[in-house]
Amino acid sequence: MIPAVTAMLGKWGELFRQVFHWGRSENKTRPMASSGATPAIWWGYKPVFVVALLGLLITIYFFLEVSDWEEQRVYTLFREASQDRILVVRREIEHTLATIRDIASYFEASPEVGRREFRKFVEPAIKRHAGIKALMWIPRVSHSDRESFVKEARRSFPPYLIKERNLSKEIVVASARDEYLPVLYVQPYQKNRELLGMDMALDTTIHTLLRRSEETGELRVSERVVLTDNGVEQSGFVVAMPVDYQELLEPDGGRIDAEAPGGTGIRGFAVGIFRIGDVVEPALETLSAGAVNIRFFEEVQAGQKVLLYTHISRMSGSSDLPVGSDGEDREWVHGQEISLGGRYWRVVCTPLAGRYEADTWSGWVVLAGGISFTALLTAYVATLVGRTKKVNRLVEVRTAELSSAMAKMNIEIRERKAAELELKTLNDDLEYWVAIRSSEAARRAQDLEQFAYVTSHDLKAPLRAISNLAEWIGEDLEDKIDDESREQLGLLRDRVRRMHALIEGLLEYSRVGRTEGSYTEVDTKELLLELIDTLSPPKGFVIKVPKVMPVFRTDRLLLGQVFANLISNSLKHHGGSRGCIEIGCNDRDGFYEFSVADDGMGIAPQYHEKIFMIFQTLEAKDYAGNTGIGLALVKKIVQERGGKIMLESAPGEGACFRFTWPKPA
Amino acid sequence: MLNDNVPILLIEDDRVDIMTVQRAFKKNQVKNPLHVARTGLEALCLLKGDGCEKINPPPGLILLDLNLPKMSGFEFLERLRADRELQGIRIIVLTSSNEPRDREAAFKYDVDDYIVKPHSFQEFNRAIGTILELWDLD
Repeated sequence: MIPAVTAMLGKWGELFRQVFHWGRSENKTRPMASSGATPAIWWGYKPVFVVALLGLLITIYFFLEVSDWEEQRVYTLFREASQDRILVVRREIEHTLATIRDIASYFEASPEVGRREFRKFVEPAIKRHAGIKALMWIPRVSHSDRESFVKEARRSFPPYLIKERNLSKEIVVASARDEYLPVLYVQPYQKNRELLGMDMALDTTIHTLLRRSEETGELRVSERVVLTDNGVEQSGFVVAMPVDYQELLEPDGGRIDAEAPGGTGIRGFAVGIFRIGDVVEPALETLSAGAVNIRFFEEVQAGQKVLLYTHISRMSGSSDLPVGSDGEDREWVHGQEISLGGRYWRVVCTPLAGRYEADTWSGWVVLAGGISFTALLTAYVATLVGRTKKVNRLVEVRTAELSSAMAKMNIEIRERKAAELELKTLNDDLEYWVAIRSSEAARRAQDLEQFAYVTSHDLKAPLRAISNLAEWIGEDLEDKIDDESREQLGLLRDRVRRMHALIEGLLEYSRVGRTEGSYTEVDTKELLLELIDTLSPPKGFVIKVPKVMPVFRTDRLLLGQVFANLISNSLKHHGGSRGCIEIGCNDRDGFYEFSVADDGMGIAPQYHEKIFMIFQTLEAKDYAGNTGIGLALVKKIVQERGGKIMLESAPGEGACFRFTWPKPA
Repeated sequence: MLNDNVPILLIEDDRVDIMTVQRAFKKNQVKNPLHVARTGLEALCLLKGDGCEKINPPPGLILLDLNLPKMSGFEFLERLRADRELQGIRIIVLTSSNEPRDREAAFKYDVDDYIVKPHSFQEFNRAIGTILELWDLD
């Protein structure tokens, strides 16, 4: 792309390349765009500048091209119109000249042409060509032939004379000379009667013309002449064609007047006087009106031109040509040389002012469009570059963030691994210690079990022995001991029985949680009725069981133990001889809430916790069967099952034990 | 009613307990000869006549304590049940253990009854009476 731009721009390209190289080396010295150096930032927008510059250059190029093309198009139109006009004019002029040639031919073909013949011959041409001022036949008359000539001429036109103008411009009879060039015939006669008989040898212009045509033997055209018609001056020109003496053969073969007087071979001249305007205008009228002004110049000398005629376009109201201007200084000129009768006319066409103007709007449209497009493209590229830079920056930032995050994560992973390792070590330690503790606990449980077992046998045996021995002593010495000793023996046995009950209670207590219970479908109502039957409450006591009690799978023995202990507790500590114990059950979420309520003497709040502690009794130790183990056992059983036991009681208001018991999972 | 001639073997190491049984027998007027072995090994010896005088005729009922020196009641039951010669002897476990597991373990050896030694002689007496009344030792 860069070489193309360079080629296109030439010198500018060199500058551009220098700038480019400067920018590139600058870029090399500061490779990091993110360093924040201003040139580096601007350098990042290089594509934007390139696009803007290129866009502008292309736009200007096309603007110029389009303008030029438009100008060319209009100029072509103008030139074509001009050429058409020149062609038509030229043809018309040729036709005009042809008239003279025809007259000359006519005279050459006929040794004698009468006035009437001449008139008849030229009439059609005069009618056809408005530019004809006069058509004449000018014979060459030597002084010797003057009289016979005049005499001959007076045959057809009696007042004929050879005339001339004197110094005061009056028309007089021509003075005697060697040779005369009088106008013999002239048509149309009425407008040109002055000319009839006039000796043209004295008219400088015409004489020169005739001389030239005689010398060349060709048709010749005069320089500009001024024709005055009804007081209006017009440009005109004179055309002459020489007519030689022909060797006209008589029918019998004899020669007629073969030698002209004076030794020259010229018999006369066919001459026409033409008004340029009237030649040109009708011809141009055959074309449709065009906005072209045409001027006809005659070259008098080298570089000196005389304006012959100006055709003002029919589209123009008046002449818009500056006076005195030859028109060729106009910007647009189409000129052509016309050759006629050894003379050169220059036909110059110029466009009518305001016509054939190039429509510049297309160029401006291209320019405006190109600039807009370039602006848009530049803006787009700038946005793109900006966005790319932004994205790059964002990528950099994100990458940095990511790497820092990764680093953090790595650290975290390492820490976490270390922590895991530590945790594992701790866990291993813990497991080790748990294993040790577990085995220790198991060993202790085993020890306890062994202890309980040993206790059950080894403590009970001596007790039983003491009891039995005391009984036997009592029996055997029934008659020999006094009442006091007998009572003491009874107390001994009673304490032994109490000791036994304590041991049994302890064993039972220790057995809770030690033994695996057996789960069976338990009908709690049936269980309660059975228990009540076993406990055989004293007369006067009523135990109420709800009609509907749950049936569920649980440890029958333990639940029975709880109920038995609570009911017997209520019976034992009722304090009255008549009473009512009411069993209740509420179905809760996940467990049952049973209650055993009595209407006895109640328990003061300060003892509510104490009664659940082992060996704690609220009454005298010697009270039969009160070991202080029952409620402790109940609490232990309920808690082992994950339940709770509560007491609601106040002195004199009875006691209500509530405990929760889990439903099967 | 229990045949008076069928000997009964009591395996018990506690002297008072032996006395208790003897006294209960006397009280209940049980005439059957009562042999006493202090250990399991001694009991086996008496039953088989290995190194000591064999009980003749062989005992129809064994009253067995579980907590015995040298050889526990369960070991004795193991040996007894394994011996082909000593089949068909009724066994009543007479122990101070109220442990459910002991009870279960005893019944695995197909014992005829499991009695927890009452702490009162009167109760014990009643229990012995009931046993001998109900059990036909023929």
